[in-house]
Amino acid sequence: MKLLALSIILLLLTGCTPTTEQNTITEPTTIKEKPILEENYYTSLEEAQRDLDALSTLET
Amino acid sequence: MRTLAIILMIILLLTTSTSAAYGPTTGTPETAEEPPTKNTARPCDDLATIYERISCRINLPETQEYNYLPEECRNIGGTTGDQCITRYKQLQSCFTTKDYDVQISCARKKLAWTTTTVKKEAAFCKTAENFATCKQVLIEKTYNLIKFRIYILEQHINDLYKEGNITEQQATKIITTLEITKQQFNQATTIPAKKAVLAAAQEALKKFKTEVQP
Repeated sequence: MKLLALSIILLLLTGCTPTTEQNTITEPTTIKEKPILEENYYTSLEEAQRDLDALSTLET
Repeated sequence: MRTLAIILMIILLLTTSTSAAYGPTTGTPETAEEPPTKNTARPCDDLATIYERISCRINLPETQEYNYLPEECRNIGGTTGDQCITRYKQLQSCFTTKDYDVQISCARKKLAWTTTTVKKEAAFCKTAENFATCKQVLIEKTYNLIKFRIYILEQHINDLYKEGNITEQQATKIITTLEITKQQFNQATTIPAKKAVLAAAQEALKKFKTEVQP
């Protein structure tokens, strides 16, 4: 009888403890931010072309 | 009653043993292993196409972020090839910051620039005793800085991918284009031809920008 009572308590305890897996499932999904496309990265090729123009002054 | 107790104990034991076989967070078996790679030292280098290599490289773990043979140095042998790899290694240290201007400033130092613009360096060369050498050194430094500007772009796109702002396919496609740009830049023999290569890359970049941020 004691053994039965102990088993039931253990079962209840196991059932009531939330597992990590459950936590992972219920975690809220992060909403991604919009890309930050900084302008200077895209103007770098223009700068590169200006550098070439400056370099061409050595030809004259 | 005793039988019932024994059954309950067996159920308990079974529950414990099943949960022990799985990882704590993912629920996947712990025994799962990474597939073996052909070149364990640089896992992306042996892949057949540039697209595949870029796709592999952008997925390298942070600790191995630069553990690849730069595409530009790939087909260059001998001392020039070694110099190319050394240059990449030196310039990669400029990526410790994400600030574009600081990266450029760092690269100028690494590439031994004495002034801040090509115009100023060119003016210096015009008055230099050994004009031919000065000019040749400046040409080399300028080309290397231009290719570093392209490399910064690649790194920025890589970051956008790692932050989850663009897809792997979008990142791979544009980085591949930029890598090919560097190769075409090297192959172009005149300044107008090099400018045309950069203009084409600029167009590709505009298209990419529209795709990722309409």
